[in-house]
Amino acid sequence: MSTSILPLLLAAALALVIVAWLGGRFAGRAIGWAIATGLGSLFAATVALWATKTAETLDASQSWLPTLGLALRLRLDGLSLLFALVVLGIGALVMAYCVNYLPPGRHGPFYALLTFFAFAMLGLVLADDLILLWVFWEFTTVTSFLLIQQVGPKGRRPAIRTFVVTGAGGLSLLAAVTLTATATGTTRLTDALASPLWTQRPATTALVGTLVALAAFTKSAQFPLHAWLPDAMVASTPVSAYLHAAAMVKAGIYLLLRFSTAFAGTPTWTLLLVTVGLLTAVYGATLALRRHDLKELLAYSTVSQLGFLVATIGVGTGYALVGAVVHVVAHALFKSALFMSVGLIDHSAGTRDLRRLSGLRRSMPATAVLLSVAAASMAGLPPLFGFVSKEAMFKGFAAAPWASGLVGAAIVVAVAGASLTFAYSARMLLPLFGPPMDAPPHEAPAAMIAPVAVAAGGGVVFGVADPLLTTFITDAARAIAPTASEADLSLWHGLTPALGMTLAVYVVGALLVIGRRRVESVQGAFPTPRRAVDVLEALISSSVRAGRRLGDLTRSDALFRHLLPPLVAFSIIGLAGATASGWRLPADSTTRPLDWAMLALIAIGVVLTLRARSRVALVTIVGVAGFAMAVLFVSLGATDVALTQLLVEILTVVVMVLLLVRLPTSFHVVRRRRLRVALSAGVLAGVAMLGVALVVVGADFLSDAGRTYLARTKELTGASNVVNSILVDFRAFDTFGELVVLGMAGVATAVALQSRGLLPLRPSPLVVPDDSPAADPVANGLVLRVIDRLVGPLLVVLSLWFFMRGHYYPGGGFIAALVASAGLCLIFLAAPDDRVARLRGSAMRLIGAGIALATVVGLVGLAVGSFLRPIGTKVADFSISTALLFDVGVYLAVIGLVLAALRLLGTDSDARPPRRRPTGITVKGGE
Amino acid sequence: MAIALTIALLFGAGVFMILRRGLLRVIVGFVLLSHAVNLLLVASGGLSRRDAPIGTALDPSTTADPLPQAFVLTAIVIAFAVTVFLLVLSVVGDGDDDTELSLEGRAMELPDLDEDDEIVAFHRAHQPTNWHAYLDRTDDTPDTPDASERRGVR
Repeated sequence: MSTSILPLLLAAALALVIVAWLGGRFAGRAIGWAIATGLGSLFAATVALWATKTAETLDASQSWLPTLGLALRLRLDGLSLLFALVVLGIGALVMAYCVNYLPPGRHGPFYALLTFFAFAMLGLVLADDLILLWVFWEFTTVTSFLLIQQVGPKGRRPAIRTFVVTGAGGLSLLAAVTLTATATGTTRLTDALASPLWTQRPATTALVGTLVALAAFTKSAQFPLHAWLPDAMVASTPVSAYLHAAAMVKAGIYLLLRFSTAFAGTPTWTLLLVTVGLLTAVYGATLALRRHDLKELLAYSTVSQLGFLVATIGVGTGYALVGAVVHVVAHALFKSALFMSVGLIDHSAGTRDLRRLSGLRRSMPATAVLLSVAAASMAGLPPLFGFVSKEAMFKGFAAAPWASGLVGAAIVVAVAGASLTFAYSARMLLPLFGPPMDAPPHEAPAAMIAPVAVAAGGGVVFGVADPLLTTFITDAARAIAPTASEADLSLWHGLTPALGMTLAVYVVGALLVIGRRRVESVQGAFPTPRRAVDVLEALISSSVRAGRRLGDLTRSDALFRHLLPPLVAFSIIGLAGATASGWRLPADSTTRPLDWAMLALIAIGVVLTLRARSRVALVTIVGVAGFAMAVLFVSLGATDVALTQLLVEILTVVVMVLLLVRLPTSFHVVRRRRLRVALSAGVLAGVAMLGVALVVVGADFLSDAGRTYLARTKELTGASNVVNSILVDFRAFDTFGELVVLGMAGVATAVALQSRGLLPLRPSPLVVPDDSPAADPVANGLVLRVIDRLVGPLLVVLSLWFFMRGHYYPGGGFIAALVASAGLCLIFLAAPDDRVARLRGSAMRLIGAGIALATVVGLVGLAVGSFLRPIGTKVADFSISTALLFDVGVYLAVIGLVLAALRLLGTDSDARPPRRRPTGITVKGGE
Repeated sequence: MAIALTIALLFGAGVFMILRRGLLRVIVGFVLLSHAVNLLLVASGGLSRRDAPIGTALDPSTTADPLPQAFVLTAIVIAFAVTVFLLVLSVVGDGDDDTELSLEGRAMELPDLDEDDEIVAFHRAHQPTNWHAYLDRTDDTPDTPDASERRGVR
């Protein structure tokens, strides 16, 4: 039974979140009662679970990635029980408080976030898996950010600051978790903590311990990472009462307690925790003494109290752990009571400033009483629970297993901190005395006082009747250190050093209270230290600025700036790779004279392309390289490829020519320095590519797949053209993907043209006289139209011929379609104006039909085994297969794309004819 | 060796063109780059075997590797589709196919004016700094004045 109850507990908490959100939307602020009841019942359920447990602890495990050993593990032991009860109990009180504190209206997100926070904390303390622990930790970080932001625009910067600090702690925890998991080999928390690794490898232990401590310091606001806590006081009172008193800051304490199992006693851990903790305790208390805003005072007081807790945990002995655990409970009770009372005062009086409030014991008697009780508990006065917890902590310090000098120093600092605590607790009570205010605040309603009374009353009850908690505390301490002795909680232990420390605290504290004017003047003499918030803001803004400067490197829209770094980087990588493989200059004679001839031709073409001064020149010359490539392909034995290259080159030039009329005649001008940079990049890339090409070309072998294709194509598919067979039979799926790419290009073209529209036609730089034959477009196209009448039908026949012979000779669907497209281009170019050039049929439908046909053929192929598998028959010594139909699909798609390009680019309803001038031919502008 | 040099030449030229201003030159650079890579792929089958893989009873010691050829065929067609799309991109929108936001060095629009003096005066009025250089330029690319090129920073 126990294996499924724990996840149910968590699930119930999560369900409560949904209830909170929906209820907040529909039932207004009164849903707080329901949530309080929900949390209260979870509290009771947890207690019942513990009371009826059959084993030492309750475990639940849900396997997640068995091969990696990852599972979602939950565990309820003494420590998690204690923290769970604190989270749930204080949560219920705060929810009840919210009902009357919040203004009437819808508060769905607020309630949901607060309940989610309770869920996240519950998950954190129940987690028995390192990863789960970290996930819930981050949940609390994110939720606290959102909760602080709920207050409005003024909560934005504090929320960001909180998030930055606690997020950094989360990263530190992630590092610690990862190190632990890899070092111990398991992600189960209990196993990892019990691993012998911690005693065997002190360096790793120190590192992981520091990382864990760092994470806990950010969450529990230790110096110097404490800035966010007073900052976060802009959030509303219930948020502060829950998060910053009882829940979120306790997450760090829980982490430290849990990891004490492994780290207690190691020197780094002890040193770090004790020094930072005691320092924070004194620092926080000193700053609290200067505050006028009650809520800020409480914030710094929380910082100080957490410092005490951290230091006590650092001591690490059984007594110290008991003291820490007791103080967790006591602090949660009195701090939430204090926050809520201050909220009551704020709600009624409209201010939290000490200097402006007075006479509250007459105007708000119940609140005054509760405030005093809670403050007394904080100061450590008997018979309240705060006294018991403070004594227990002092006992831990007094019994620390260190050199007596160190113990003495720790005791002195602890006493100093506690005295300051006493002093500021008294300071909190200042508003109770004095003359009544001009507009005295009225007492808060009973419904609001009730939760405060429960919290403050808890301090009284547990202080007086200590044995109530003994089992819980002992179980918790034993969960960390199994050999801890039974917790001995009572008001009187006899004349112990702890008692002496407490008395010293009273004396010094009383002196501070009596001489408070002198104390204030002394404090005034010291300059206000640099606010930690300012430091944090400076850190954040400087990192944002550094990021912006880094982003400036590629912030511009210029292609040049974006392309240059990756091209140079790839060239360097290529060079490195080529050099690593050794520059192989081939000494053999695989090179033929035709290769050298083509190299020369390509060199000429490339040089002319680079030096082209106008767009017309560029378009004219760019085809040279393409044609030379086609010849090279033939020489290399790739005839199909050569044909395709030839046709594609022609079509590219045609499309470019169609565009020329919309672009300026000459190019943009750039600085010479920029050209030099581009040139160097080009040279670098060329050299790198030379190395790569030598390596690739030098590895002269026939791949196994190629060998198989050469040997078996005829028998498998009946085709003689191996390349075409690979395209439509063996690797038809790749060709199918290619058709889809063609379709995408067509669609993208259509969308671009529709959404942005073509550039207008430019006035031609050519100026022709009226009597010139070049003036009349119909006459101009005469030669081309006559050729079309002859060549057009030829091209159609040629296209079909190429199509049918694809399986046996160079040809195939692609080449046939490109030949047909060439015919379309001829018609287009010969048309005198747009009315004639309107080609029927929708290009998109053609592409779609092609892809659809290919898909159908593919699905038919499923019937004989797999998608696109060809089915063949023999008809009179000719093999026909569904691959032919597939090729038809290819044909349609390619024609569709070219048609799309021609139609969409070529037609324009407001064509402007060239300018006319009767005085002879002149050329203006351009080249 | 010649093939390797061809590949290197095309690639270097392609990279140079792709780093220039104006989408048409970038597209030409893209075309040259794809030429280089296609040649590299086809040549990876080995340069000693150059017979076309067409026919029956093919001899593996002299026939070229058909697999890279199939790749390259697909690649050529896809590159064509991409080139078409890029060319479309160069002629949509407004202005021309400039790839930078700087006004420096923009090609001149020819307005519909009849007199030479009016034309020259018009341009002088609208592009004061570099029009003279543009009118008087020689075959070298002129240096433009010291205005910052980076107007496009957001």
